[in-house]
Amino acid sequence: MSDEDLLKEYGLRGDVKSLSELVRRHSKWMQAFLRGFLSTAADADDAFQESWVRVIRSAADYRGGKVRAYLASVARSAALDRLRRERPMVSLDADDGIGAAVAETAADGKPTPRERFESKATGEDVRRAVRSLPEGPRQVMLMRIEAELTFKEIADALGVPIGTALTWMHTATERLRKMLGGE
Amino acid sequence: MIDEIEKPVGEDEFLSFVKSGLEEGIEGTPRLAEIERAARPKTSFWRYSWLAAAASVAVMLSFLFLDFGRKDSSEATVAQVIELLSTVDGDENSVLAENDLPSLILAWQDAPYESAISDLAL
Repeated sequence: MSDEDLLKEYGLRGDVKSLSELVRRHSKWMQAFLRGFLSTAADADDAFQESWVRVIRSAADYRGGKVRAYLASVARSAALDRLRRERPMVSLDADDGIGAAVAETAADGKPTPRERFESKATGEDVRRAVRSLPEGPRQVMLMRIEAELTFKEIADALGVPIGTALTWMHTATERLRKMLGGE
Repeated sequence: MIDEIEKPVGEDEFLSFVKSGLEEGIEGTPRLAEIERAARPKTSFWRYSWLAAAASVAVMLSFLFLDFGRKDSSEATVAQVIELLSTVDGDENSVLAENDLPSLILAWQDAPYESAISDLAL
């Protein structure tokens, strides 16, 4: 059964098994996607649950379309709501994200992400670097590599021209390369 | 785990590395039970709402029947009072003639039997 059929089945008949199957199919990338937004695994788990609660509440209104794009939009919205509610002082568009991420580890005398990457990199290094990206490039990066959406779908989801989405992806890749030492 | 990964070179390889980093440590589905529980009330609510509505109608009807029963009982009480008074006085019109019967009935309609007797005696 396709993702679309499963979501329609749940929306029309409330079939919990269909919903469970959807959750199983999409849980891994959605969790990774949310961890790229939120600083702790607990926050990401909460946003993950919140995303599915939103899906449950709006499933009856689903009228077709790529389920991955739909889920990515719901997860993105849940993550941004959580960020704005819990950390209103954080600027999501700060241009000094790279420096802040590097300073975060350099200030306490520990090696910078770049230095650590040269020997070995961890998932937390990657997550921290992704979280430090400006909001636009970060969202495009996550929608591209985790939700695996096309740039057209990403542009539609974010309400920006496709050229902007491509530029943000380029920006995100270049900045991550610099932060993680992959250049 | 992406520990000790080789330094990525190409863009695809680099993005795979980023993806691996983001997915590191993610296993299974967190809180699936909670999500399924959240999903269930949607279906059970409508099922049980009919039962709740039926129960509410039954309660309302029972109140209506009780109210009608009470009215019947009050009217019966008034009739008994009138009959009793006529018996005591030996003259059907002696007491009732001095009182406005409709107002008496209205006053007694909801009064307990003993209270109606007491009021009339005064």
